[in-house]
Amino acid sequence: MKIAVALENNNGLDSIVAYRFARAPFFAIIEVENGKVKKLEIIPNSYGGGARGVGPAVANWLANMGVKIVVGPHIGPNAAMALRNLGVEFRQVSSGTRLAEVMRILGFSM
Amino acid sequence: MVKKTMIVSVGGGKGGTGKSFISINIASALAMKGHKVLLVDADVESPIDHMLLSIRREKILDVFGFEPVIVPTLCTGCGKCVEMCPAHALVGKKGDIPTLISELCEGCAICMYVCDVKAIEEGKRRLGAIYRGSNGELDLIQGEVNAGVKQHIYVILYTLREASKVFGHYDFVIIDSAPGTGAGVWLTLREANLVIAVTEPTPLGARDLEIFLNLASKLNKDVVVVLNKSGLPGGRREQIVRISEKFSAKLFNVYYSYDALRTYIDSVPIVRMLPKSKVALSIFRIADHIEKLYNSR
Amino acid sequence: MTIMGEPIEIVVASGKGGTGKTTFSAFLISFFAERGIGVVGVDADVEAPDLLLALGGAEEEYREDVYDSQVAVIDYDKCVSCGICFDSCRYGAIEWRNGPIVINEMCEGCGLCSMLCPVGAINVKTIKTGSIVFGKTKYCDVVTGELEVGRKHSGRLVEIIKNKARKFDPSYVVVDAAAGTGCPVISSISGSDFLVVVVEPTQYSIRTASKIVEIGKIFGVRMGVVINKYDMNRSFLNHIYEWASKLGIEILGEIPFDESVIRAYSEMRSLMDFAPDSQAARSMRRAAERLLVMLNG
Repeated sequence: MKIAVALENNNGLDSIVAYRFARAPFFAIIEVENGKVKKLEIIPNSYGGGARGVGPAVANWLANMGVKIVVGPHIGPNAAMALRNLGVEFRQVSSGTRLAEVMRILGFSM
Repeated sequence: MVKKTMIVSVGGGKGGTGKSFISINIASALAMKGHKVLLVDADVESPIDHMLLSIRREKILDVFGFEPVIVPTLCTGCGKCVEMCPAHALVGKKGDIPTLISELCEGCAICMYVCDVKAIEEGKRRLGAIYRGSNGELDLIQGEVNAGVKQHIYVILYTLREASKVFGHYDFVIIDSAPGTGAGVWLTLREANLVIAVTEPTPLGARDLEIFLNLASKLNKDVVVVLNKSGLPGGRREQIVRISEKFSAKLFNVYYSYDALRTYIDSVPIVRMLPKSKVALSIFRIADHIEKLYNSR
Repeated sequence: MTIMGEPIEIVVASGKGGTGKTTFSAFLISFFAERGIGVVGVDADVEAPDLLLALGGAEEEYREDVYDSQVAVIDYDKCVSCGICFDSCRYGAIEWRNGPIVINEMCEGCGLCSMLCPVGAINVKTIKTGSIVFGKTKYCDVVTGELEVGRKHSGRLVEIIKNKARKFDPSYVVVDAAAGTGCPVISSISGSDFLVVVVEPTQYSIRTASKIVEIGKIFGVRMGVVINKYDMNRSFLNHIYEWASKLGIEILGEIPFDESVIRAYSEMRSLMDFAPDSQAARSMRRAAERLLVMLNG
């Protein structure tokens, strides 16, 4: 299963959760199997700079990647609706939280 | 000989200067002089002219914009519409039937055109409505956009289009436009024979007046400046005078008074309620000027 | 303050113009600054910006142009006047009366006409949306958006200036929204932490303020009401209290009509600077204090 975490920076496990979901500069894509992390990559958010509909554009991109759970700070109504329609679950975690801490909250071990 | 309808657009840039107050009173003043007057309320985000004139309005029609309707039996889930939507209003994983986020849809219809299997049909999304009413003296046509709808400019366009069908029945058409200087206001100024810029004696009023007059001059319009709330305690008119001169616009004063406020709150035009008041007299002076321009066309 | 320096964003809106948004926004900014609280102002009234004026002007300014608007452009060397573009445009942006086909200010740059043109005569290009002005006032930095006259896309410009303001990394960002309930106002409210709804005691103001509250609820923002010029129609106050109570929104404060406010503008000084002990300043201070309690409580 894939999980995406909206990140403000790329600093490995010390990266922090972004201030804004859709315009987050990076996303961590975590592949999990049987509760354990198989793969972790941090990729740039190529949709973050768009003019409008950025939330749904990002939601779409992540869903098409196979992401089932998205972790981020608060999201707006359009992003929320997009994620819902795509069957992707959203979990809210405060911006500034370290990625390592997010993984602990989600219950995964490396 | 029958004279051609004169279209007067009332704007000003800054919100709250009294565009609606001036619009309804000029319209009423011209009606009192025996003319056939149509007032068009194009301030679609917050139209209040029907309230100011105590007119019970009735809906003429709904304004609809395009919205895609995906036919599930035809859709192949190719995702082309999702990719091509400039507003990212369609979401869906490849292989799935996409869903629409109505609030984001701008109605461009690109999705319908790019679908290779004709699985998208033309649907309608209610953007707003157009209303009409009359108080026996003048007629009103008004547009209102639904809260949260982004395409307010389209509703303005539709309101003007609908109203223009009957322009020929009137001597004067007064268009009460929205605040601002963007595309919506541009639309209301476009067809005008005369533009009235309503402002107030403050540096904010002056600054926005200048921006507005720039727009009007870009469109080569004749302009009259109405300095509303003239004499406002603490206010200053020098800048307004200077800017009006810069654009060669005739300047009229409408005085700040408690009477004007009261008639505004009581929903009656001051020209009707207190025709001998200083405020009403200054509005009649503006109406006279407009009438003169009309007669000389 | 939130984690990692993300500023708390307060947006001041009203719906109806002229109710006192800018006056309150400016006062709130000076209130924070005087207490040593880091704040940046955003003038999101991009068609008629006046926040800088309300703060007593900027000591220094620099600008950045924004090229973010897409429009379709016809290459008349290639155009064969088939009219396919004219038939397909959903925005009323393509005109064809007698003579060449023309694309006007209503164009959204969606690209449909470009896609459909059989001879490739239409291209979408990027043009200037407007400018961002960075000003340093005696209190703090202020980011102002200035939309090119007659342009659309004010919502996008608002988003851009809010992002610029956040980069200064203050504790608070105060956004002075435009009048109305459309795209630029929605963009102003989106993503904010608190919405101050400024009303005046008239049915017109409450009517439009209700739409603002609706938008606030959609975005799940906390809200509070400021009643400005409350003494202009005391008999209406109970109606406002009922309205607010029914919507579950608290009244932050009530401000009387005060000549000092206009005098301050005329003197090109902020109210905090010009008349800090005036009735208006004292009641706005109380409202600001109430707001701080709500934000930190």
